[in-house]
Amino acid sequence: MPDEDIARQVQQGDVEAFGILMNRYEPKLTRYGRKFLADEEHITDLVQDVFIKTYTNIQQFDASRRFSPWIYRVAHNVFVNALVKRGRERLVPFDLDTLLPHLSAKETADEATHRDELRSMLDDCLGQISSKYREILVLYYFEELEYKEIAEVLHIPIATVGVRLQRARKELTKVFAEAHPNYEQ
Amino acid sequence: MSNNNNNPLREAVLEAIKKGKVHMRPRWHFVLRAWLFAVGCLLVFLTALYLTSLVIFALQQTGNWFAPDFGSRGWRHLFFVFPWVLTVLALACILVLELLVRYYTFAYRRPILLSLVLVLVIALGGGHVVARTSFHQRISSFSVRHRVPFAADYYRHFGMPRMRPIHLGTITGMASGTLTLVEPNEEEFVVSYGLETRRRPGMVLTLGDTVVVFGDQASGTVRAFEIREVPAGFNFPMSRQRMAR
Repeated sequence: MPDEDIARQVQQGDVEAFGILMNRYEPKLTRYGRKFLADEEHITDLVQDVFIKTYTNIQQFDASRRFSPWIYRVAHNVFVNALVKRGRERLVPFDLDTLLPHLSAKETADEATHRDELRSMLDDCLGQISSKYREILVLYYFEELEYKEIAEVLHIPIATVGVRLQRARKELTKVFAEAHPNYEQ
Repeated sequence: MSNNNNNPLREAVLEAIKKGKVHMRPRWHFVLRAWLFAVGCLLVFLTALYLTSLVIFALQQTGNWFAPDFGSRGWRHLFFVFPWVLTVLALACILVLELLVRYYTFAYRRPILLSLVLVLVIALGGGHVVARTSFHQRISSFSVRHRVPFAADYYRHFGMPRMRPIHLGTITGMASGTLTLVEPNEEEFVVSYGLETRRRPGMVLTLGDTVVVFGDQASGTVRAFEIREVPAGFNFPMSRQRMAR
């Protein structure tokens, strides 16, 4: 059964249906949180917080739209708040790369080809790249969200997703090359 | 439906829900919140519109609207008399509006610059349209008539006679080298002009024409550097006496 139908059941008061959604999303959100925060500590508490917020606000979800970006958006807010609380992140009203228009960016086959390579690089250098770039890499390469879905999660234009991903890959490759002098790009 | 009773996180959350420790917010809560948010956006937008139109109205009432027509001297004058406080307040409202509308999908899907320019154009365009109507004239006359605190003083301030190089008025008398003008505040003054006074080639002045004069005032007479006709359709300011009526 699609997530959206289960979410509709939850909205109608079926608590057990919420258990199914938790079963589906707990591994994904735990991985997303662990990689985005680059931290093992308290991740279970944070994911629990995500589920509590999801249940509390489930009536806000429009069941005619996709559930996945919506719950990732809830998780994004919880994780960013956790970063801010720990003093590792500053709250900024807007990001510079969302200021100017960019040429519309499309996903390329090349990006998918290098998915495995970039995943292992990301695992290796997780804590060394900025959270802004780390999050978009995690959402794209690990959670396998599409550009449009990432745009919904981060509340940024779709073209910005492409540009930010490109910059994130550059930073990741640079950090990885510094850590592994024998690495050839 | 799959089930997993060995998942402690899942069990903890479900137990909290069943014990009533976690509540689902009702739908009306989100509908109400969305409405309040939209009303908040509308109020900020209307404030931005009001302030923008007030800036234009203030410039028109004082005749400073025509200052750029008088070249660098006019621009310099405009810089010093520009209602900067109102402008900064209007810009602050526009910025707040931009931050608020970014909550909506139609705004965050577009670059900030684009939505900001759009908000700016709508506020400036809307402000210009409002300034062309009798909206401020009516508020002005109401607040002066009913002595509305702050507003009455503020609107009356636009009609105050003061030493300034730009004078807007209607020609009520003509003699060789002089014009008698009546300003919107019903103050009468004399304008002296000569060959050195700049005018549009072929410009013919007649009684009842509304003109704007750029020149220094001394002993009740304005020595005109330049005289220009007021364009047709200009919202001619209302006098203080008419305001109070």
